[in-house]
Amino acid sequence: MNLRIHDYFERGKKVRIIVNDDTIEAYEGECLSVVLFISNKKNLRTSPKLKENRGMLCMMGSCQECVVLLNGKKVTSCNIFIKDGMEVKTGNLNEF
Amino acid sequence: MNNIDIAVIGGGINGSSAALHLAKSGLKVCVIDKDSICRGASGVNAGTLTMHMTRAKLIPFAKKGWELWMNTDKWLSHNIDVKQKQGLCLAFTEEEEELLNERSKVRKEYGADIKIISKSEALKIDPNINNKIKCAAFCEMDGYVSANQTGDAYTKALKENNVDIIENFEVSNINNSNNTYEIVAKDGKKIHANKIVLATGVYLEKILKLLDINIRIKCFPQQLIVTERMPELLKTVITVAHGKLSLKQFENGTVLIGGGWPGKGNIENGYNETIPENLIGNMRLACHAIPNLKNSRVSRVWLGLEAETDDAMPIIGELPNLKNAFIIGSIHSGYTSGPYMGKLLSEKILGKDVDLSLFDIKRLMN
Amino acid sequence: MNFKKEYDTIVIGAGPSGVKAALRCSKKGLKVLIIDSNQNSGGQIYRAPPKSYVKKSNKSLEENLIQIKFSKHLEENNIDTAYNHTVWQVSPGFKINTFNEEGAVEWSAKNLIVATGTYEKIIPFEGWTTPGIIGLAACTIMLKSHQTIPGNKIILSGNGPLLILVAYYVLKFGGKVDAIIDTSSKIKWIQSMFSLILNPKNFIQGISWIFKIILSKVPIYSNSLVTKANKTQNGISVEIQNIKNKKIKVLDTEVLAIGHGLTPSTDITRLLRVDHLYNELKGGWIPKLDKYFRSSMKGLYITGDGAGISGAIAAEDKGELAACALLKDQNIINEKEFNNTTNKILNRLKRYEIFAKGIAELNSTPTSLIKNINDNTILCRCEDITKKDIKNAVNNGAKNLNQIKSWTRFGMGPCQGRTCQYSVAKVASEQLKCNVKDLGYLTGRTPLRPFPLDKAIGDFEYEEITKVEAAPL
Repeated sequence: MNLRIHDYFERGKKVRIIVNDDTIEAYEGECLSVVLFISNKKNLRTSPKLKENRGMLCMMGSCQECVVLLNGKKVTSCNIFIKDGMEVKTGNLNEF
Repeated sequence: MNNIDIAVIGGGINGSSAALHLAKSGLKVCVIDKDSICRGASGVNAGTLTMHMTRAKLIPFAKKGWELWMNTDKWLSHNIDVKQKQGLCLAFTEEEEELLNERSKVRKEYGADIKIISKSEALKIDPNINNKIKCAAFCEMDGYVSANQTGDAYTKALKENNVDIIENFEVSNINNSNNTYEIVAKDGKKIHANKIVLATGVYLEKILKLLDINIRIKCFPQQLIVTERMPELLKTVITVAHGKLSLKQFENGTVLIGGGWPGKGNIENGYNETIPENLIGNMRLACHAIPNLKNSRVSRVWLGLEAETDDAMPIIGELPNLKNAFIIGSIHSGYTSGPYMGKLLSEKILGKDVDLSLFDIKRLMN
Repeated sequence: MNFKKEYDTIVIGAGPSGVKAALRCSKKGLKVLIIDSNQNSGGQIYRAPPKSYVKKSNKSLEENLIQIKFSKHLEENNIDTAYNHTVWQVSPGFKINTFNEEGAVEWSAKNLIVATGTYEKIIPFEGWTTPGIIGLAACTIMLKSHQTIPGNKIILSGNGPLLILVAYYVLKFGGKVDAIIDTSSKIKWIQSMFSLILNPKNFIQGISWIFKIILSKVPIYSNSLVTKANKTQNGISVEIQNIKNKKIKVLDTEVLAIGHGLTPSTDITRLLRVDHLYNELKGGWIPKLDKYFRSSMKGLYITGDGAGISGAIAAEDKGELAACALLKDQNIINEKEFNNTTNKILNRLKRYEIFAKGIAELNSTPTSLIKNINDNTILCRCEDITKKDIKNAVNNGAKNLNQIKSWTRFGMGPCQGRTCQYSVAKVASEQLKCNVKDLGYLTGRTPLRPFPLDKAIGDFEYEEITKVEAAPL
């Protein structure tokens, strides 16, 4: 099933972003955490003590679970909008 | 509350350390605090253990304090994150280079093992620092303590040594009768003790007035900044020549930025408000020292009050014109030497021959 | 946009409440700035799609139309809008520090209206940190704003009005809901409906939502809760239990959307140290306010769901009332006009009272959820602090939330306790056998959101760094 709904809105142009070593297709201006979620990249960060995988939770910029490294800097991905060529790193961000 | 030998009023590391050592010698001690213990400056400061920023005259005491911190299992008996780290004090301009030479020379004279090293030597010790430095001062014996853990650790240690911890007791009056003391709380509760130690930090001026002693204690609200957990950004504890930066990275990856930049507030109205220009100034200095710090995000900012006497030296010892009353406080960069100062005071109280003349409160009185 | 440095009034939050408050102030001649971290007005309930999405002319979602109207009114009334700005500090007086894509921006205003809404409560359970488990509110935003169905297999769970809303929208958009795990019963759904409908007059619409869900034959497990979840090879395995007959069932899914009502956002009010009170039905801690939403700090008004949960329609009226109070306090309207206007609004609000009660009940947390938290369950996600850690701190003498925070590090991570404060308080109060309100709330701290250092410092020369007096020798 195509998870994107195109009935009500036309999205921006198709672009590519790099997530770890994979290239993912997305639409310009889409929300980064949403794109990662539906592109089978739900593991975004690693928890500090238990080293568990964590991912997006609140989509409101509150919980900070969706933090990834974007071009080297820590960002809350639910507040970031896709631009062509973005380089995203997920996983154990404290080891980068 | 009966049969208290000594009531220590103020449960920060100064008061709690004194109480712990007094209790270990067999006396019945209680610690009184208007809040929970170690929630004042002791619980919120940067926890820097450094010779670079310690007042020169206090170096011998700081060294002894440092050793106590590195061996908490021997006296505190409870886990608290203490790490020895090498310390680098950086100079970015010629003026700072001169200042650094001067400060290091004086501290060396007082016994700190500090030496001036070149830029390349400094970069070898910590490659993360800005390569625009002119030179640095190096000390092997620096490090940090996680200040927020002190409350938990001291509570356990005090309880194990049979010390009564009386929290949420705000002292409103101290009555002297026959050289013993009745300590009265705002809500009317009373504690009777044979001896008292005043260790109330920024509230020392207030509590001294209850005993008709007038000393000015200046209170400086200071800002502290901590980042999110980050990969390794620095290997050492960093300070700068003019003293307005302290930088350390904890085991958990967070970086603590301090340096005594002022915030707003006082003890009457609270000290909660930051001065954004000072936050930015502090952060700029930090990012200048460690350029990769720019990739991180600030997670928390808080303020603490630092107490300082008119000559910026501690007050430790007997209170004038009173028997069985003692004081400890206003130890500049006090975290390093706190446990040792508390121990010294406890030895003085136990009648041992301890020279606290450098810290005599009478010097501040007219 | 050419911003001024200083405004008569700043409104933080461009949801229904903030927008209405801003409009009323502006109509009386005040210079108003409205700030929101999102790209557009609308708040969460009318959250606009990303700026890059272009509306197709033939079809519209009602919420989008309302949001578009908001933005239009703001523009028509010359209200300055600072979207994409995240507030990181608010100081009395008032000074608002923000950051955006470019750097740090600061504004000041005589008066401040805070309309920052709510967060979703998610009561922890074993495995709730598994990626793929998101909030019901998060799911709502994905659907309505980002026009994306979260997954091919979705299970919804929890309580509160969002459960029906999410189910409806997944189905409306052609997705599939594999199960609904409802802590309450279907009777409560009728109550839910009142809080969701955009206009009380659209009773039929509300009923139609519920019918659509029932007719779609989505399996509904009433009086049930999710006891645990864990990652499987292809997704998530969810264990559910019926609260009444204790029967257990295991379901497989790709996405679990779960939420347990809303709780007011008190970041700013706690930072400003105004008085608060605890009201479980209104969502937890809320600032102490008078009838017209004045806080205990002069010049500070709190409105919307952040003043206590009562729904989106009431939020608009609350915004109007707060604006009236501000205008009267500034002597821009007199006593007579104030009374005339506010009496009309208060009468309107009375009509929604019956819904407000229903909404409040839906927001309260069933005790079965708290009982389900076991010792090894993580409460503080930022710092990996478990229920056991909290219990240990309490056993060692920690008597309030701030002390528990100091000893365990809960609430010290990037979320500053927003996600976990409610659950930690419930767990600690259970152990101390005290009321949740006796534990107090976490002291508010700067920054209100993690603040990128590179944005804070901007470009500078070393010599520019404010020279502060050197430390004493």
